[in-house]
Amino acid sequence: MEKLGINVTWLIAQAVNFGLLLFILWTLAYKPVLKMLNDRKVKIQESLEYADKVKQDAAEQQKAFEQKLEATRREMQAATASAAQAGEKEKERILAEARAEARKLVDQAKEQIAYERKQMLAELRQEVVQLSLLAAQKVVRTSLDEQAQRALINDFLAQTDALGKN
Amino acid sequence: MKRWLPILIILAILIVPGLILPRFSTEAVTASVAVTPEVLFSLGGFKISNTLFTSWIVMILITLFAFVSTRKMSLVPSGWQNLMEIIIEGLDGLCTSVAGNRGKKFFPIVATIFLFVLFSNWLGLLPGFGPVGIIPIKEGGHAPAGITTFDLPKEIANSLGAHAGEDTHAAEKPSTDSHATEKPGEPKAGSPAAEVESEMLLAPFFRSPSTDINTTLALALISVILTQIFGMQVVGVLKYWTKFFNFDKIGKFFGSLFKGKPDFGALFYGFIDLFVGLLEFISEMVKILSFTFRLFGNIFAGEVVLLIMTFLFFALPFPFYGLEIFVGFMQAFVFAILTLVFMTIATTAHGAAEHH
Repeated sequence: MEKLGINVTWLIAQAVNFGLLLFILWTLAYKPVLKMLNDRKVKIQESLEYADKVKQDAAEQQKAFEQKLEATRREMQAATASAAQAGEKEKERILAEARAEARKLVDQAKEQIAYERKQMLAELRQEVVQLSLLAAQKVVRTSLDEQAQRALINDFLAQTDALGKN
Repeated sequence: MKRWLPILIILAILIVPGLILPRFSTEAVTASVAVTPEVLFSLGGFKISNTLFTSWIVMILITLFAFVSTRKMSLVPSGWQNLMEIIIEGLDGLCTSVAGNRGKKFFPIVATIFLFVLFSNWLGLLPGFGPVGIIPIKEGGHAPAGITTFDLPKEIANSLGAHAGEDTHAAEKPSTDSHATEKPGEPKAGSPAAEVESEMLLAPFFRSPSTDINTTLALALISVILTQIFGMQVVGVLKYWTKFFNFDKIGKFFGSLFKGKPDFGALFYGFIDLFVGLLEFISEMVKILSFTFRLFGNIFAGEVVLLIMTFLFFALPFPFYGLEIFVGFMQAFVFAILTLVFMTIATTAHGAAEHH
């Protein structure tokens, strides 16, 4: 023992040293560092969970947004379609109206023309009759007998009728 | 070129002193290796050995390291805190992986053993450990050849040298550590004498605690005793000791003897149990020895190897320094992990042993 240098006081001193070092390291290093490691672990876990949550939220939000967008798009499409339909209908209606109006106007004009023409013809006939009567009177007064006069008038009227019909 | 610069510098450091040194140390040099630590001074009747002194330096260094690394703790680690966290996290992970949830209990001891042994092993490799110290020279004596000496003021020399002088008788041979010859930078104050006239002892100021049996034995005792305490704590005091002194089967035999049907099988197995328990007990005690001498032997031998290599060829210790750095780490690790494993076994194996 002596040759190996074993000395009880030194042995005890070294044991005490170890105990002291254990205490120092426990208070100065192990406790704070282990606490810090644990804190960091907790913090990282929390952060990861938070990130997951945020990610999930974002995904949900995006989904909702996309749904909304899709709905809006569909609505817009429907609105456009209905507007187009309405426009088409309106166009049809306006066209029909215009057409009807035009036809009416044309008819009216035709009627007017026909009427006026009839009137004119009637007036003309009247005029012709009077003129012929006048002419006839003048002729009769000079040379014609009753028979020849009538024949002449009839002939004339027939001619004017044909003329009027044209 | 820049990449080679450090290597060139190292080579220069190795070669230049080697070229210069032989001019100074042509005289024969005697080197002896002392297993016992040298006494530096005494404090109120309590002798302070250089290993004890170095232990305190180791403790101060570790404390400083711990203090610096935990002074400004932040959630985002940097610098020393990072290093400390790597060490502690690694050791804590090791304890947990080996011992499960009991690892938390073993961790402080395992980690302290590791740090203390590692620091003392590596500190011993620094220059100045071993070779620089006090040599008490008797009145009219001279320093041995090859050793550089300084003259100390008489009062200091008396107060320091007196105790170291006493220790001269304890050391069997004149113990001169010839590492001193490696130091070219030191001025040669004392003239080297041709002959060693008186008994002399070099008391180096610093000596790695791991090269002192007292340190390693203290650590071994702490490790083994704490192992027993943890074992008793977890398994129960009585149950724990039946691992070593198992009278179960012999008791059974006596029980059967009283009933009139002696069960000699039980007696036979009882003796086997006793024998196995005895072996277990011996192996438990041998752990103290193996712990002590594994660490002491490795580190002490490592320093001796470095010394011898220095004498053989100036650049030869270089690879061995690398080796010793590795050995220093391995021994610290082995001491710590064996402690951990033994503690784990002591707190589990008995439960498993119950089954047969």
